[in-house]
Amino acid sequence: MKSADPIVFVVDDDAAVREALVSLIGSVGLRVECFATPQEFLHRRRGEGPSCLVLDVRMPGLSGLDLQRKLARAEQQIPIIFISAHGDIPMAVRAMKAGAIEFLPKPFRDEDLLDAIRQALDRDTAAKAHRTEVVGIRSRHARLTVRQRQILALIVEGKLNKQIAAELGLSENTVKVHRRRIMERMGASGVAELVHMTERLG
Amino acid sequence: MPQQITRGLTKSGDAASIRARKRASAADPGPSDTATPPSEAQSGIAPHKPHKPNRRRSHAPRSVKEYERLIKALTDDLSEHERKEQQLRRFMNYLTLGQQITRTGSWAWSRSSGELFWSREHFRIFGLDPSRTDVSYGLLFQMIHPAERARVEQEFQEAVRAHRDFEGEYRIVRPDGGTVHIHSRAYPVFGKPGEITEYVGTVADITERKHREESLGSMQAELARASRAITLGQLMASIAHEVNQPLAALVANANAALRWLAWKGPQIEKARQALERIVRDGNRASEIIARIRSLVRRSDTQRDPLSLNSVIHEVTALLKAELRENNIAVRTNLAEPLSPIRGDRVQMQQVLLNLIMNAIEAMSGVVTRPRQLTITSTADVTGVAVAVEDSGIGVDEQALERIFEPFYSNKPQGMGIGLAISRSIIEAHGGRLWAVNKAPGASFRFRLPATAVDTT
Repeated sequence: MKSADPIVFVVDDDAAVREALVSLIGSVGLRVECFATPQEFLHRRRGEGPSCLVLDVRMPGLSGLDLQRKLARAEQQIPIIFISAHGDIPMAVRAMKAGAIEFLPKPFRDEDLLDAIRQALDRDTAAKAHRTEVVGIRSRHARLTVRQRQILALIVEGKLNKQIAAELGLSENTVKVHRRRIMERMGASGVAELVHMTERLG
Repeated sequence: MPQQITRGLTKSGDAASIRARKRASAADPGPSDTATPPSEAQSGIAPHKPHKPNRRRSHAPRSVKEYERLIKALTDDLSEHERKEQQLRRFMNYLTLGQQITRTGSWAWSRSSGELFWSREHFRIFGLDPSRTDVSYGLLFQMIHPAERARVEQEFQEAVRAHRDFEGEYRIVRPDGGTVHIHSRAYPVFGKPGEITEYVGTVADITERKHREESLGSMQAELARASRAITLGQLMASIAHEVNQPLAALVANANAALRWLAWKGPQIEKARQALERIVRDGNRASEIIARIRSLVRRSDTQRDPLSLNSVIHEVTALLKAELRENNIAVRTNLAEPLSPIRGDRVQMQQVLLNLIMNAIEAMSGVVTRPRQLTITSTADVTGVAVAVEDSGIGVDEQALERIFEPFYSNKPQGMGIGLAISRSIIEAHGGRLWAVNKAPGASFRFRLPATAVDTT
């Protein structure tokens, strides 16, 4: 398996639960890695691929909710599925409000857990793709000259070459050349895609 | 000489004896003006030394010598009188001072005339001016805090009816708006046997102590609630957590095993490992249950001879603040002596705590009648019975049995296990716990054999 393959992390202080989850998640062909404490998980560097976290709520020391808060503060987005041996409703509400995918009381149905894991990995894949796309656009945009960025802004506004030339005091031909360069450097096939990309830049 | 005598009398401040002197001189002029003092002496001092004036009266002074002797006897009498009065005044001063220091006033209430006497300190505590106040029974109860007025009057009237001592705590609202906590005690004074002439009592300003107690009291009530929550709620939660952990592992392992077997090339080894873990987790769950069982059994073995009256006293003392806060009058009719039962003190406390807390909650909405909690203990040859009765809303007739079922509750925050646990405790002690309605309110009763049968 490659580091870009999806991976499921499990944090639970109960060894029996950890072993069972490794087996269950592994039985559907997913990569899984276990941690007995939240601290151990925080030290783990995550790879390229999508991942999600199956997290016990009540643990000695740092609780599952504490870990969720810590990760959010560090902007380490990872979809979380909570599991708890206490049917604690206020706790579940807090976890869900903070963006958890699911809150499952122990013992849970395998379908419920595996569905939640699938949903979490899909969400992480999408989030990762979005982040990669934005990073790409940003680096390509950084390669444009100051003049090209000026012209790009006017193209996105829907201005014609003639209008842009007049506004910037350039010849229409010069604008045409710049426009072609901009398309090449940004890797866009048309004005519509260019508009889409600048929207991503925010 | 006469002037000197008069001065002596005036100094004593006894207006009555001056009046008496005037009356006496009018009635018995005597042989001369100077003969007046002996007559005066007779009226004023007679109660103390009746024989002397009588002897003197029989023969008027004849000689200067006799006259001087008489004067000397008289001045001796007067200084004796003065000394006694001084002593009395001193005593009164000390009494007043003592009342000030202890912040305790005294009162007396005549049963027949309804007349009420208050000491100076009583006036001071109530924030009233003695010279401008007509004290009366009505005024006193008017000053009691409206929330407590009915309860205190009921308690006092009950004491009077039963010819018993009265003891009560209440708040009064002074004319300046201040609130004072009062502790009052009184006892009846009997004329003929069985006939009360008056009640004599004290009022102590216990505001400071009360404020200290209140913070302590709320802590105690919190503790009572917490201990209930710990023993019932937390126990359930920790059992659930302990058992759910291996159960979760067990179910996940079973599902994993099924999935490993469903693979195109069945993963027999993986499935076998999962099955082994199922066996292990199943054993772990049953060990947890066994551990809890042994815990319960251990507490069941505490079967010492126990007086239920003392348990009733302990629990009502613990809930004293809670009961007062809810304006509930408590009456205990305890059979003395009560034959001991064999049982666990803590578990018995828990049963009574539960029944009384339920009674308090049942009366929380009652405003049109007194909130009355009555705890009765009775004994016969077969055993001991306790009844906890409230004047609350009662129990729905259809629900009289169901309320003892686990997780049955009428209360929004109720877990519905208090009565179920209470019943199981009583039954484990070889007894019975049941409920009946009595208008108004409900009565929860339990019976225990005098020497309880050990059922575990």
